[in-house]
Amino acid sequence: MFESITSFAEYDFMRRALLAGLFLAVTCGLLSPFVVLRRLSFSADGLAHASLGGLALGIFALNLGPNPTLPAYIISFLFTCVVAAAMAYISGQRRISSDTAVGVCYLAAFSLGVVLLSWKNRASGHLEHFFFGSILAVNPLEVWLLAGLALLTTLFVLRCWRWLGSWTFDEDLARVTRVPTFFLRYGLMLLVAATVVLSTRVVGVLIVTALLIIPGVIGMLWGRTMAKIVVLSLASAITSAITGLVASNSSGRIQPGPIIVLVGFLLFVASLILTRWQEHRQPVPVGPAPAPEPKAVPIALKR
Amino acid sequence: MSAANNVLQVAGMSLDLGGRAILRNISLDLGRGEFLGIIGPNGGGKTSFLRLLVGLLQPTSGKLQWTSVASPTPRIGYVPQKTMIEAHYPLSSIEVVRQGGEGGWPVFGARRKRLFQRSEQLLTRVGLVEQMQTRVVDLSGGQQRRLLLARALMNDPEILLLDEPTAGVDTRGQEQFCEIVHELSRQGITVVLVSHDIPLITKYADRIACISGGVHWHGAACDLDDKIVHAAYSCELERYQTRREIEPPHVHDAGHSHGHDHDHGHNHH
Repeated sequence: MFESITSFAEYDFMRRALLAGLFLAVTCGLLSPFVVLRRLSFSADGLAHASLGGLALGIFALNLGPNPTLPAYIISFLFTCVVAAAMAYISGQRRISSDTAVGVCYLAAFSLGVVLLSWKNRASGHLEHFFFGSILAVNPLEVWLLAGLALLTTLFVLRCWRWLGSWTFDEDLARVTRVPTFFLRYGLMLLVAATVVLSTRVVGVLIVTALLIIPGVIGMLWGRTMAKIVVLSLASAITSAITGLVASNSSGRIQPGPIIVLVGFLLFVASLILTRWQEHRQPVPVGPAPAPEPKAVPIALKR
Repeated sequence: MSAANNVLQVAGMSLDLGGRAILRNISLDLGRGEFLGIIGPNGGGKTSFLRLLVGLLQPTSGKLQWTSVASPTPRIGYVPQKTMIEAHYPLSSIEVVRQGGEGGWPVFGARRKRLFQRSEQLLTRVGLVEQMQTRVVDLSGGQQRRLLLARALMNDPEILLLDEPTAGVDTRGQEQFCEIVHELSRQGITVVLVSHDIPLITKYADRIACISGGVHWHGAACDLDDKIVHAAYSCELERYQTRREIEPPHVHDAGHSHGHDHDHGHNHH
């Protein structure tokens, strides 16, 4: 185990994998609570699958090998944004529900990706890497892009901190208190799109979806304030990423991506059991709570 | 009501949604510190009217102008008919109230202390200080309504718009809620409250507007009678009792604090 940890300092590719994992964990840990609270989990999953179509389109159009370049990532990002817009447009039609719209769009985009990658013979053998990623093969460009994304996400969450909290409660109420809900909605979806595009090859479609959902749920199980939820989400995402990388390196056989998800899942199960146990010890009173009379003392409502 | 004391002027306002006429030719004034009750049948456009006032909908035609307020866009507190709170929503009551304040950046130091103190004060005011660490989804329906009122007050509103806040709340909860709102109105906050509970609304409101596609009738609460209600709702309301039946018109408190001049009803039909 100790050798496995020291190997991160010895080899460049191990250092890059660790940095990529950390940056991705920061991004997903910050976005996850808002994705879950705004009920965007399925949309995030859909975009993650759709990004495969975008990446395949980039590789196909630029005639690349299995390693995408910056232009391929840009094509993939634009494609994923188009899919997100299509999901929003079809959801707006009265006769189609939003989950159906997400399902239809992502399945089409995902299938396009598989067709294009299969057509391009040399890439078809690496389809598995797009599902589970190959974090140990991450290149310096991808590390820089992930670092930039983590920084952008941190700035977005800090700037919109109180707006995001209000928006998760009720969109109409947020609009009345002058929260820029349009900016929040599209800002969050663009960050999710960028995250899934950059992560598809690094940790894979399935893992990035898990990282966008599980940490937020763990935070929600424990936290009663937005700050606590986000800190716990961040902590569980980073713990999953580092533990997964170390455990994978120790085993020498298993890909880190699935282990990262399994560690996150174990943290989720432990949180679920412990919070249930805690609630059982301090049960919520059943029935109407004794409503104290509103205080008669008037308070100055104008500052 | 003097024009200088007006906070809202609505003139000839109409609203179409999805090709359907929801509201037609609404004209209404609202005075500072006035408590306006809105009644009307389901589908009559009461909620749409409030959503127009709050800026969530835009009128198809006509004028809606806020006047005599500090800025062209007044600070509005809004309690909607329904919220999207789901059973798994994790935040505590006090956290939800804190969210009602303006601003995007996190607050620290003295500002944070002020925010926390104010949210506690407001929870005390609405009688929920004991439940401030309770998850909002674990509160009863009536408590949730009072919590939303506290949240709406975080922003120091000049106008308070309440859409059926007492629906599904027991009698005691309704009275508690309306007492608080009535006191806020006496402190100078203009209140618009939508409700189907006519006895309750006539007890607390200064003026009533009956909306059913347009303003069917508006006037002083004491002038509302069963003919008007019957015409607006197009049905017999056996349990309905007007303030006129509870107390004769001459008993009505002439010195009631808001000084509106709508002593007589105006039937638009």
